[in-house]
Amino acid sequence: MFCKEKVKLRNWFLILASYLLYANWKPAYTLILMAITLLTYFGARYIEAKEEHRKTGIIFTYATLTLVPLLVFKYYNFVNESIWNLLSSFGLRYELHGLNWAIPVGISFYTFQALGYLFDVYYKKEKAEKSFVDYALFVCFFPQIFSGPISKAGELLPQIKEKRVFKYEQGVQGLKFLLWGMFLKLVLADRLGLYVDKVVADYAMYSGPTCVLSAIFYSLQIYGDFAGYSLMAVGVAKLMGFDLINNFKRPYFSVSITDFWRRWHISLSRWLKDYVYIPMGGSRCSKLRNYWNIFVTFLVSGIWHGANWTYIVWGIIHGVAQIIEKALGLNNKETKGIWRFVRIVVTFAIVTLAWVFFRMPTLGDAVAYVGHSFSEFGMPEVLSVTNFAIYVMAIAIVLFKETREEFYPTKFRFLNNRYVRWAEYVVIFCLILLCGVLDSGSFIYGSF
Amino acid sequence: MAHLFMGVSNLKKFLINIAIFFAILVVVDFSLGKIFHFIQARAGGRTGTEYYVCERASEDVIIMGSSRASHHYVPEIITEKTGMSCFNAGQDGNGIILQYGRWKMLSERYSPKLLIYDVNPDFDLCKNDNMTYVDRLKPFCSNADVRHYVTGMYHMEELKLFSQMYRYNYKIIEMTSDCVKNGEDKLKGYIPLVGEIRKEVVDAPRLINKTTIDYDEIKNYYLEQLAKECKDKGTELVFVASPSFRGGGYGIEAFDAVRKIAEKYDLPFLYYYESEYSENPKIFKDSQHLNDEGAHMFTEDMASRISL
Repeated sequence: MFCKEKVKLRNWFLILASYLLYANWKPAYTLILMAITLLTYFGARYIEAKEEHRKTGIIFTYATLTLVPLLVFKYYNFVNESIWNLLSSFGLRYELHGLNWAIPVGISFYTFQALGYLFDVYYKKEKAEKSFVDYALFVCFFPQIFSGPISKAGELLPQIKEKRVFKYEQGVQGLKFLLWGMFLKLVLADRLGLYVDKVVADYAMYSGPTCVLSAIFYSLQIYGDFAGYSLMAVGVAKLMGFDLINNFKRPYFSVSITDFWRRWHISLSRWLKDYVYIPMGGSRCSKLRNYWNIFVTFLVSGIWHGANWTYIVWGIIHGVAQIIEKALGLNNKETKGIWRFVRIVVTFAIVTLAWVFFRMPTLGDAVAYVGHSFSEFGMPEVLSVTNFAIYVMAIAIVLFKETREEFYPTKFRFLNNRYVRWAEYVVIFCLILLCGVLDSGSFIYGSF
Repeated sequence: MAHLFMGVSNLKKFLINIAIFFAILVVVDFSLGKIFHFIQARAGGRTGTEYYVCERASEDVIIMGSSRASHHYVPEIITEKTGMSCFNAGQDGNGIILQYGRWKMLSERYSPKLLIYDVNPDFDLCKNDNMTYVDRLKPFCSNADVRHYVTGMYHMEELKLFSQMYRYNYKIIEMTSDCVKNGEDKLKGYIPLVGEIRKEVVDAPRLINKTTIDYDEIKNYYLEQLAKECKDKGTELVFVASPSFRGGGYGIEAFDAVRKIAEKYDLPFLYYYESEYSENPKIFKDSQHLNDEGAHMFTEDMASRISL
């Protein structure tokens, strides 16, 4: 009894901390978080209590209501403008006022997490949660509310309920994740961001190779930014005794786009697979229907990332690439040696091309950027020697670590020596202090 | 119960290891901070020039401002014309926020006879992120006034400045390469630009120069403080708007804030921003910067006016 009370008290404390942290950004938007929590909590209980034949209508209603804040805040202006532009081309004009509100931070993440729980109850994968406190913490848990990972109820809720005893290994792992996440974010991502922002803002003024280099840097920047945040979130959670899903598994060593989505933003890929792809029929249908399912899943992924045609095209590129891979039988084909290397390079090139659409403000800019990238030849511009030296150093460190983990997990054993490990931690910390961008406070994925 | 005790002993071990790790970090941080300071004090190049301005300069005439200052004023000519020693402390991508901090250090040591401040609307008047401008002051935060100035602007800096390494954030590579450039700066801080403005810029349609800007109250405050402190210390301050190609994007009205400060403290304000120089593409490297030939012409002209 005493233990149960203690767990409940701790959960209340974590809810309070999460809400205060969220309110620190915009207090009014905590109401949206609360509304989604209440809606899905009672929705799930209602669905569970109802007879089978009435459940479809109820899940549809609750899911739509849960999506309303996301649709209004994130997509209203986009839909409004798109319709207005379409009508204008026919000479018809009826203008609705756009919303001048900031998008609630992390809304796509916690909406999808709550929605996933609702679907799990509907599909009877999970029982509806009885404790509102435990469920509220599941939705608002602060390490993951801003940029994920998107947890499943089956993973996080049991951890919320259980009494935790501090585990040394878990704590150490948490600190390691935190440190490496900070390195990826502050040294790799934010430094590269200075180059990318400069080139992208005025790409017509730079040479083609500079634009290509900037696109490659953006691929690394977004990885450092998002994987860095995810690692920090997982690390903080571990320090508190929670194990969250690891969102990344060396994605730029993927041998195909299909493989890429098994390694990049794993929690979103899993969500889309479980609640979009499989309900549509997944791969247990005709080939054509399967291709359509892939296409729609990645269209949803594009739309989830943002209300702009650039994100939609980004999603389509990934969807179409996977359809082609599937048609050619490349999606699950094992390759070794030089062919593996070639496939890694080709996959990276496709992913980088797609990131250009993701990064540019409009489709026109993205197309012009790609065109401009192949307009001149020569050496790319360095822009700042100091920054460039930091890019090279940071990329080399990340590449060494990931190459070792991917290809040589049993080699370089001396690195496991306790003193060498401690020296590594000190060096990484010093590099963060000496080379990190320490006045930047935003994450790219925080705006999704 | 045994499970619980194991948790407590694990936590104890964990906390002890964290304490050891941070103790190592403190030692490393302190030692590296000392080494970096040693390197900085002996380096040449940009690092050496910067250190000289903050810690050693004693010239009669000091020039401050942005890259436009460092590329537009030739100290040698000013010395010839006025008979006073001169150093150019202009700094790329910076303005009053950095230069006021430098002035604090400089004026602690001595009072220059003349301070020429080159006004650049982008870095001295417009509202933008001032955080980046205090960056170059961080290695000098052992000076209490500078530390107070930096932390007064951003309170979080108080915490970050506990780290000696943080003070050299981003500077270590430049400092290391400047180590091999050891030697006196013969041009006294002046950085000549070679070449002429690109043809496309000359042929491009003329833009309308901005007459209004979103003024930054903080920058305006420190410009005024500079004027006030120069008056108090007996340093003659001259505000100058050096030439730009075809007005460089700002009309004369954009300089009203400086003009007002100059009037209030009875200081000269020499306006060359859009002048006879502005239409001559041969003396510009780009729309904002004179080339070496232009800098010599302009400095001759300006020095004759101030030596009168």
